[in-house]
Amino acid sequence: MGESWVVWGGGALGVGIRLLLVALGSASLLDHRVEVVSPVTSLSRLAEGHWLKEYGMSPYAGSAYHGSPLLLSLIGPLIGDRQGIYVGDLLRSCSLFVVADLVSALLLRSIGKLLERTQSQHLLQLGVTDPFRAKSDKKDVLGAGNISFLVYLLNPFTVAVCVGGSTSSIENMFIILSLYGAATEKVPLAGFGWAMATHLSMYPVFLFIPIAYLLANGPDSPPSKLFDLSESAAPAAENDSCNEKDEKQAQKVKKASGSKRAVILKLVFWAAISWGCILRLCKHALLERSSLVNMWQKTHKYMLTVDDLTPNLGLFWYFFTEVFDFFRIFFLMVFHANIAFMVPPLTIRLHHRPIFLAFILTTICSMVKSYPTVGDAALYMGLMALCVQELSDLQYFYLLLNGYILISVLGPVMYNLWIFRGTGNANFYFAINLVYATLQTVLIVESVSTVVRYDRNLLKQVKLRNRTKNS
Amino acid sequence: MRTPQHDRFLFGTGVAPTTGSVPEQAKPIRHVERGAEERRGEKREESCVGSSVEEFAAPHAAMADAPPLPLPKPRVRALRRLAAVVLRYSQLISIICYSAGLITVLLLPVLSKPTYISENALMPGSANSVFGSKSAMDARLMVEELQNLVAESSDGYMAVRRWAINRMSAIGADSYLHTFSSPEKPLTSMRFFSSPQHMPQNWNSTTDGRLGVNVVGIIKAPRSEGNEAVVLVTPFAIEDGKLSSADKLTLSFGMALFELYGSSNWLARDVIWILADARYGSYTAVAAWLEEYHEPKRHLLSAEEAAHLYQETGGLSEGSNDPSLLEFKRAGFISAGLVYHVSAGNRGKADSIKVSAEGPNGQMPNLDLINVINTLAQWRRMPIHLAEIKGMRDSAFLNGLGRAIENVGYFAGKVHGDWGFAMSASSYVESLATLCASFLNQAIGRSTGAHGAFRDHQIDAVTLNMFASGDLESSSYQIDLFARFGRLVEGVMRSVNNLLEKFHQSFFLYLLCSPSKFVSVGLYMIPLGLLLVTLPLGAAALNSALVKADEIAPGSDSKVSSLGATEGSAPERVETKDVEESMGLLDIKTTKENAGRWRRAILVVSAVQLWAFVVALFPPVASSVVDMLETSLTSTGITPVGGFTLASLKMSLWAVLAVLSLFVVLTSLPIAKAGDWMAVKALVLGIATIGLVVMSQVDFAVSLMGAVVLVPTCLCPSPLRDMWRISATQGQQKERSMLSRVSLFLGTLVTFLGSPPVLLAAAAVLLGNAHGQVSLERLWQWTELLWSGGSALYIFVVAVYLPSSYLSLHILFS
Repeated sequence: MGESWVVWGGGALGVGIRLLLVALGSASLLDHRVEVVSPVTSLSRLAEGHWLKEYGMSPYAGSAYHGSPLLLSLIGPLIGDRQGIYVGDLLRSCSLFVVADLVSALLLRSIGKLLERTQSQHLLQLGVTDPFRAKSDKKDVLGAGNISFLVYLLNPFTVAVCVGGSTSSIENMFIILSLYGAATEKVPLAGFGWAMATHLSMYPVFLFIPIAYLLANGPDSPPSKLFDLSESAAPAAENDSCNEKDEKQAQKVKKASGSKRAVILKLVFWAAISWGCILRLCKHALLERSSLVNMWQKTHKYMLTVDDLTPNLGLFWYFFTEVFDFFRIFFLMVFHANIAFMVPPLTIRLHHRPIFLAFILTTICSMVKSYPTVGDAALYMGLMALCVQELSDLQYFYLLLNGYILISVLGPVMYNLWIFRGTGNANFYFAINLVYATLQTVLIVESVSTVVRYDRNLLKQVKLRNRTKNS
Repeated sequence: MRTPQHDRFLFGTGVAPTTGSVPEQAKPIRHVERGAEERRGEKREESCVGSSVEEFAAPHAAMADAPPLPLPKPRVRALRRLAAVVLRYSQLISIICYSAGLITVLLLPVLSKPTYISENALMPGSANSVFGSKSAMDARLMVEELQNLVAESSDGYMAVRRWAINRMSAIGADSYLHTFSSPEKPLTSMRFFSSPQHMPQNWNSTTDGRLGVNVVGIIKAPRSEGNEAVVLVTPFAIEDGKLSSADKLTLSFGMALFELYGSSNWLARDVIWILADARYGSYTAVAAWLEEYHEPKRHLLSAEEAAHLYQETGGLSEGSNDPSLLEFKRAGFISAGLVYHVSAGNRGKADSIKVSAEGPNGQMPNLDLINVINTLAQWRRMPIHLAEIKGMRDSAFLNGLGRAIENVGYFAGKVHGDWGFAMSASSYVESLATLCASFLNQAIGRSTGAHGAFRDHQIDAVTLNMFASGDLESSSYQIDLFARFGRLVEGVMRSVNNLLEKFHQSFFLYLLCSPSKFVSVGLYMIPLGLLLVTLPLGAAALNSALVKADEIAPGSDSKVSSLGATEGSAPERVETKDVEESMGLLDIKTTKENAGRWRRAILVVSAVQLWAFVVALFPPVASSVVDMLETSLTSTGITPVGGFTLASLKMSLWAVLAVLSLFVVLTSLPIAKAGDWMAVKALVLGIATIGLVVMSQVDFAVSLMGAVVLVPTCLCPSPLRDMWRISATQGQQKERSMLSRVSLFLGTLVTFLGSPPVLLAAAAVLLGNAHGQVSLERLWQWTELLWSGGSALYIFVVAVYLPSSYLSLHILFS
């Protein structure tokens, strides 16, 4: 009772805040902030592209629009010319993003519920009591799904992105959709979500790995080694009540491993089909005014080559304003390879926890992205909340919290000092970006080590249980 | 790590740690909990104080016979050890840092450095002045002409405008009139940051005489492409139909200079001269003009409106009915601004120049501009000074301090030649008075003159206030005055004219001790850093104390809070703890306790922070409500009650609203558990640090003053309840509890002194005179002033100081 009040009340509050801010006209304050919109996600640019298309030109003419033609057809008519001053106009132009946020949050909630269920199942299987489900504390615990729901809806970053005229909410929704599809074993949904997300923002391409693992092995679980250990110990303890249940579930796990390959092939198939459909639709949406190659050049290539050096939250702009032209390609490769280099080791270490792996990969992408906004932070914070149980022992939480508050206040101040007051310079602002990157690094490192420690703790407990049984 | 004694000091409770209660039954599972054991091992090594040693020794000795795994020697890293030492003495270090910060602030005049010109291109004084006795004579003649014109005319403003336009067109300069309306009444809208609309929205509503009119003249430089310009501003006002003699001199002097520039061939930048109509203050006039210059509004005048406006501006009559006079003309990028006016100084003293440079929110123009003026003034042997706080020179305390510093410098020089410094007591006090004045002006966040308007558009500008101490009506004195000031202003113009780029070489962030001595950002950040470092240190100490408390007494708050833990329940708890431990849940359970505590603390702090933001938005509401009440009351014929002025009513309404909304917030908060206050305090310290750090970037003066007040207020509080407990239970350890009681009492006192009601009362007493109502009125006027200027001080007080100090009180009574 109390729980549902908190959850749905919080959700209503989140939606209410968004609508209130839109009605007060905060969009005009936020839609030119570099923290909120990037050249790829800006709605003002989308409006320009829409206008160009209506006018009978290629939406990619000039250098205004860098998003998908599908968004153009979907959102373009909805937002009009973005000059509306009537509350009705404002609400209409924003409604889609509010809905996208709400859908993302609900999907996160169901992923979280699923995770909770499987988690307690696994712990039962291992014979370790679930500390978070202990009877006395039950009323106090919200659960990963609800926490994630609330974190996503009430996060100021999500609110700012949703209100401030950025298409990030929709990109985030597709990423979460693909994870949801994978978690609930709906292969077509997962393939479609992944294809859409990569089409919109390219970086989710790395999320194929967690999605595949999610489909093949199921949601986050302790390392399989642990199950082997607990199984080997099981015959020794004959009077264990959950012995039979254990074996049944172990068999289930074994059985599932047989069809892994088939599932992944199915995922590849559906992803390819979705991509084909998306390209066809794009071609249709472009109305012969531009080609698919041009579209690729203006969207994904634009992200890869970092043509726009407007200051943003990332690290690219500062570096590439300084680098000599003949080194540019080399450093572009180095910067982008940063993400790719980190994927294999993380996958090897964390493949048994695909959702957590997705969180880490999203965070890394957000850190080493060409045009990051706080929308990316909003996404990984939502995913992080899904792993709240494993991360409850996170070190430096206090430091991270204060760090995020600090940069979200000091960042705009430094930008103001540099651009408007003229008493600062680019280094002032870039210093904040460096702090932001450092914070994200600390978050990644600490999260991974916390999860590794959590697994090690479980191992200890299983070993302890075996020993007590044997003795 | 922490000794029990220290724990008590920090928690404000007198309990010895309950570590010893870890019983021997727990030994079979010891080897599994190796991590925890290591940690305890560490603690054992470091906290070699009395009782805890045996307590720790017991389980360790018991372990010796059982373990299948060998116990590794606990290794303590040097860095960790250092951190532990720092945290252990955090309070002492905080006190030292805080005092060091305060002392450094007082030493800033001693540490200041002489100024120097860093932009080569300026080359002050490298050319001979053209402004000589002829120009001075011209100016003197113009004084008479102007006087006659104003005396003859029925409208002084119109006479001045006509005179200026005629003169300007005579030398072939462009001229036009720029109209602006009175600034918006403060607090009529919720917009805090948006600039006021200077252009009249509705022409008909602006009644006669309410429209301000600037006269603007532009000289196109013969050697430039007209893409850069320098702006000169001379503010003037007409009171009772008369132009004051100082303003008369200002305008004639300005015109003489302008005519000189009109005929000069060395100009590389266009010269814009604004005769700023200062009826709403010179700042408003210049700000309106600059806004129109940079961000023109789309206002297409209908013929009727143009006619109205034309009539309004005086029509100028006499055949010069040129409609282009109303056309706004521009002259390229403005690279610098110079505001100058003549004021009547003290009779009998030498003529002097006062330089004002503080812009909105403590922004300063580039130091090079002030350096040029200073260099030229010294070269021309003209006394130059800055604003200073009057009473400070006579302060006995500061004079004593100055003498002490003088002696220190002298003896340090004796000990070692390089250590000495020559700082006389009088010059120290003078520097400090100047520094404090500049500091106060920066903190209030209102600009000290029309130059502040330039700063909003990234243009460097200063005001030169020329104090003429002779007889302003005497013609020989006028000629002398014009000649001397004229050379100076011309020299500054030549230097600015030489610039190749925008001012960028020298400092933007500095404080001035005198025109030739400054404190740069690198230096003045040191005291702030010393003050601020205490806050994260306190937070870290609290955090580690919380972690430790959880480690020592898991599953219960006995360490942190409850002395009320009865003896009878203790064995039971030990048993449950065993069970938990054997299930390996100890760490996780502890984490959960911890997480719950942090969650409640975050809720409390964010609710109070939200409350503060709402309170910040109340003044317009209070203002409009009282105004509405007033109009309805006067229409029904009832007079306001009991001599309460509107302003004091508004102020009281604001306070009442704030308190009411606070109660609403408080009722919605979750019930705090004992021991929550430490988490709350850690968060408050974090928030206060962030607020002060951000403020130091926005407005340093606000940040430093805020830090002086806020640091002790946030660091000191701990629950009063615990103080009573100490006196009740710790009879046997008298001297220790005496010390902690004294420190707690002092902490409480400091917290009270820094709390909003006390400071508000202090401000009211300082601002008003005796009567409570009067001071309320003054407080409201200050609020209006700060709000209308978009001052950082307002944001700081309401959004950083108010929640932090309230939460400190909250901790005190939790």
